[in-house]
Amino acid sequence: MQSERPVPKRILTALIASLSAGVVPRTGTPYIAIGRGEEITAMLSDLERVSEGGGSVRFLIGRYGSGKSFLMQLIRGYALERGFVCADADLSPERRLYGTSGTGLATYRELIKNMATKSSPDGGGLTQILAKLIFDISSELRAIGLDEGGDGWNAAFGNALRERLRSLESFVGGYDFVSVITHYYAAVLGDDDRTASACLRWLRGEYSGRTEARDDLGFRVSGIIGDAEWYDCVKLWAELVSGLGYRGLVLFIDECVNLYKITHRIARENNYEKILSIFNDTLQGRAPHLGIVFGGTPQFLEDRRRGLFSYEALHSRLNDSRYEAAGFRNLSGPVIRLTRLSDDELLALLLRVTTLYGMYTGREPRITPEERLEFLNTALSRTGASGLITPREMLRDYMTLLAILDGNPGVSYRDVAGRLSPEGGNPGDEAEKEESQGEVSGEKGKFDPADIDF
Amino acid sequence: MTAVDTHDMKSAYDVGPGKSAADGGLPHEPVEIEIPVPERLASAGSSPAQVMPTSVPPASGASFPLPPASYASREGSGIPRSASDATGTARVPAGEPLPPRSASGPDHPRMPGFGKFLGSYEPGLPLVKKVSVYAWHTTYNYYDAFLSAAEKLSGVTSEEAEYRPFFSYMPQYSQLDRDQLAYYLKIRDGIASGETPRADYGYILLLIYELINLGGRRREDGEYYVSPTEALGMLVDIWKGYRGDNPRLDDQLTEWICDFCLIHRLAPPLARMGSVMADVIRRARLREFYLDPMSGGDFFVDYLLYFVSGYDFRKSRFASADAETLRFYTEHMRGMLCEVLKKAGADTSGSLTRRTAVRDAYIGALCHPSVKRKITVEYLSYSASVETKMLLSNTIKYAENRLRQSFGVRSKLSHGKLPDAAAAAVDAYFDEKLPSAGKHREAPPEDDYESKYDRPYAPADVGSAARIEESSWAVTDILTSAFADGPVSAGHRAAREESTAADGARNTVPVEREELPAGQTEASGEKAAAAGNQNEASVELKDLPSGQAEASGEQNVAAGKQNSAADGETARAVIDFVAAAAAGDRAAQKRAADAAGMLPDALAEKINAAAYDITGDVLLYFAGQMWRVIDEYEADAVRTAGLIAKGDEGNAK
Repeated sequence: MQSERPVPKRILTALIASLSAGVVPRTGTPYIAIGRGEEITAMLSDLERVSEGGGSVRFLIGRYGSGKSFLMQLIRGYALERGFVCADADLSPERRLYGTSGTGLATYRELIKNMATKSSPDGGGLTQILAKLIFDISSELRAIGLDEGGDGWNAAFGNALRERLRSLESFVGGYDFVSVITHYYAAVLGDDDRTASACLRWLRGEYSGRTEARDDLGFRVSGIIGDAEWYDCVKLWAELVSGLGYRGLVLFIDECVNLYKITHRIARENNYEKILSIFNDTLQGRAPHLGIVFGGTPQFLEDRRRGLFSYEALHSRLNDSRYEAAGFRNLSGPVIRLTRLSDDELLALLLRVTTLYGMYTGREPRITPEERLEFLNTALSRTGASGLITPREMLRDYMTLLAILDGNPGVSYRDVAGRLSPEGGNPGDEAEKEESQGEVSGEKGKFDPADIDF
Repeated sequence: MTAVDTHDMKSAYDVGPGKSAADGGLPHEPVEIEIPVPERLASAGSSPAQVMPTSVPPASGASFPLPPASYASREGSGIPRSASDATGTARVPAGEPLPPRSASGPDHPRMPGFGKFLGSYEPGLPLVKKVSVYAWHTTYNYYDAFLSAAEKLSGVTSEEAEYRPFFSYMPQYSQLDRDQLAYYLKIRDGIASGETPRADYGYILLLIYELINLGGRRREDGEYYVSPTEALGMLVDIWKGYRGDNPRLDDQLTEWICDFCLIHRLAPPLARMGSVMADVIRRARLREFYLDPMSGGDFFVDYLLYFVSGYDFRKSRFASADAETLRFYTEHMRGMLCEVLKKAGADTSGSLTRRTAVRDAYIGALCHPSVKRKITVEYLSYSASVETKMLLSNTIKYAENRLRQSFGVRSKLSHGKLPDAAAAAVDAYFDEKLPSAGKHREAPPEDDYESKYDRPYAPADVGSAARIEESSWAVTDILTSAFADGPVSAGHRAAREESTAADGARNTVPVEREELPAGQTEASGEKAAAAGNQNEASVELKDLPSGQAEASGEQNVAAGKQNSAADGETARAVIDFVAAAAAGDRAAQKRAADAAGMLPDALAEKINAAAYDITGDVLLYFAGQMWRVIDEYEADAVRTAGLIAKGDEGNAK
């Protein structure tokens, strides 16, 4: 009995394009999820916890190319579908968790810019989230019989809005946050685009000073979002979006190795202290509906001189228990270590990609399972490949191979693989190689010292 | 620089023929004292010789060679020479307290405190080159009574005495009662015999004062009250015996013993001082008196590390990370410097600076004017030599860089050029002691944690890979069937099935039904049914999570009839909105949103969420000014909008 698995057209197109380019697909990642079942289950349980009002923090640690970013995108896509608000940012020398020259705030700005919902999966969901609040309140008011634009509508709307946001005022920085959002709605309902824009600018952390913010906003605020305040503001966003009917806010912070690369010890430790603060907040219930996933390399976590483990408070929290050290795996801890995919899993991935490519082109790819295995062995047998090759490199080559085979009906895998081999033949088949050499070069295929030209 | 000859210096203070120091002091007869001096050190001021050219005549007149006049004037120290000593020699026998100043007044009124020049000598110490002693210039006689009492009590013993407390800041015999005096004498006898009887600080100071005043002083019959050597030995014993309870002794005796030795021409009792030497190097004003560069011992190395070098490695942020690291640093810095002194040579002597120090003897001690002295000391200084200081600083920085390498720290201290011999000696030391700290390691050793990210190798197998691929569809299903138990309306579910039937023919993956986890499918179905029932009660807030939707359920049911009509309008608005988006008509889009009673953003979000439920992807994207249909879906936009509207109507029913 056969079943059919539909893949949306745009997603399939984007997926094939991303794989061909060697980048992690932003959509469609579930269709190429091979292995990692335990890790995915652990991450999904985190989302459940966030959905139920808890907090979570995870460290996805793996070498370059081990699939950290892929797994993050996978979970992000899942979370979006499930009604979470997601925001992601890659750290860099200009974007840190803490910095005195706006580097911490730059991360916040990036997160807000990339804030995504189910209906805006590519980011830019800030205005939609705020619009949803208006829609919700309007619906409530209509439900109790009030006419939009009628007498008492504005007063009732204002009261309902304040009631919705009241819980936020108890958070650090909550008063300003609520004040700005309230003014934003007043501006939207009053068609005051300038004030609405200024409010959004404040919420995005784009003001450099209070005076500038006050002049622009037209009302008083006691502060702006800066390097020291952005994490408090993230907690406010988490509370707000959960109040709007979303299941929670999930942040994906990748390339944390950039914190490890900070040369100045004090600056590095300040960033680690911010991670410690996030860790404690989320796991002690002080950051409801907030989940954070950090992605980094083993050095970022385990280097005792410059990594997270150099900071004793984090080392004691993130270090393996002695039972894990004895070889047992525990995914309930905050750290998920990603080992490289096994050869079987890589071959399974090639099989899946072959299937998806067939769906994309509508034609059966002209490659046999044995040829796929040969391709994998060839890729893995390249010098240094065991430690350096990543699925993305291999997939890129494989997609190229499939495209060549698809675009050239007269060409077989052997022809293409033979061209790729430096010896001019199939590296996996010595006999065939010799025969091929003999055909091409005739008598020169036989070894004669006199033929060697020094 | 040349290498230093490291011949034995231990006998530097061996006393020549005649009465040995061990016999109770320096000889009365003229003697020649052999002091082997390393060439390099000696070249700085004295001849390498070996002989302390001190031919000391009997009391009638010992002669001390004076420094060349040119040297004295070159140094500009202002050290005066006796006007009465035209030959440049003093006439004081070795071991004798130098005589009091002449009655005619100070010989050098220009220098306050300088009395009559009593003589000078070359002690033959490695770093101290010349000592000149002057009487103490004063017009008053202090402590005559004390000195007289001390002389009278010399040789008196007290066998039976009980402990009696005694304290005085400036103890004298006159302050003791009979019992205290008896106990004091008992203490004195005990210390002389090598014991450490219980003693208050007052008793200790009094005994020290007695030794300072009577040490080397002669009776009328020519015998010593206490020979200088014996007095020096007792001073050291007192120091070692009582410093634990009286830490002030460290500062006091460091200076007083130095003065005593300089005045009585005694070598520093380094061996006898033993453990106190570490504190001496730290506290002494004239450290060079106690130092022996050729010994290469820890004291000299510490002196170079902490008092000569311009760079203190202990303040390095890497060294001071914790106590263990600091110990590691200290151990290797000492070892390294010893190695450098051996191999490259303590060949800094050629560039050592000759300096002169002026000392007032026995500062803070009770001291009779006839005993107190003014002393000038000419010595070779490491710390005053800029060249030596720089060389040491560079060596230590270079060594720290090697230590940092051993920790894997890349940052390096910058330093001036190091002589090849010194750099080679440092490298040789660390290559032997810390091989991993080599400058050109092939590759850093892989950290232990790397193994956690490895996986044992197993060759790929086609069958195994196929099974993995099949089972992975279960994960894919979990991740893509989000709406199975999510807030998806029943109408949209039906629309999705319709869409799948129409659109999925092309983009499908043939999969065996048996591969799907049956339980999961059933569970998903139940959840979907539950979600559908729940959403029958939900009207507008259908995208809320279940809990919230339930909370607002009653309210929504009450308003259900009113909103049914509104849903009909919303369904039409959805189609109009998508059509406007496809046509690029912003005004029409606004009209459609108004008709639905929503902001354009809110309506677009609603459409996208519904489209996601139906097709697995959003339909609209925001193009700056308005919402547009995604290019790939333009052909199917109206049909999808119809399905969304149909879903909405289904929900309303």
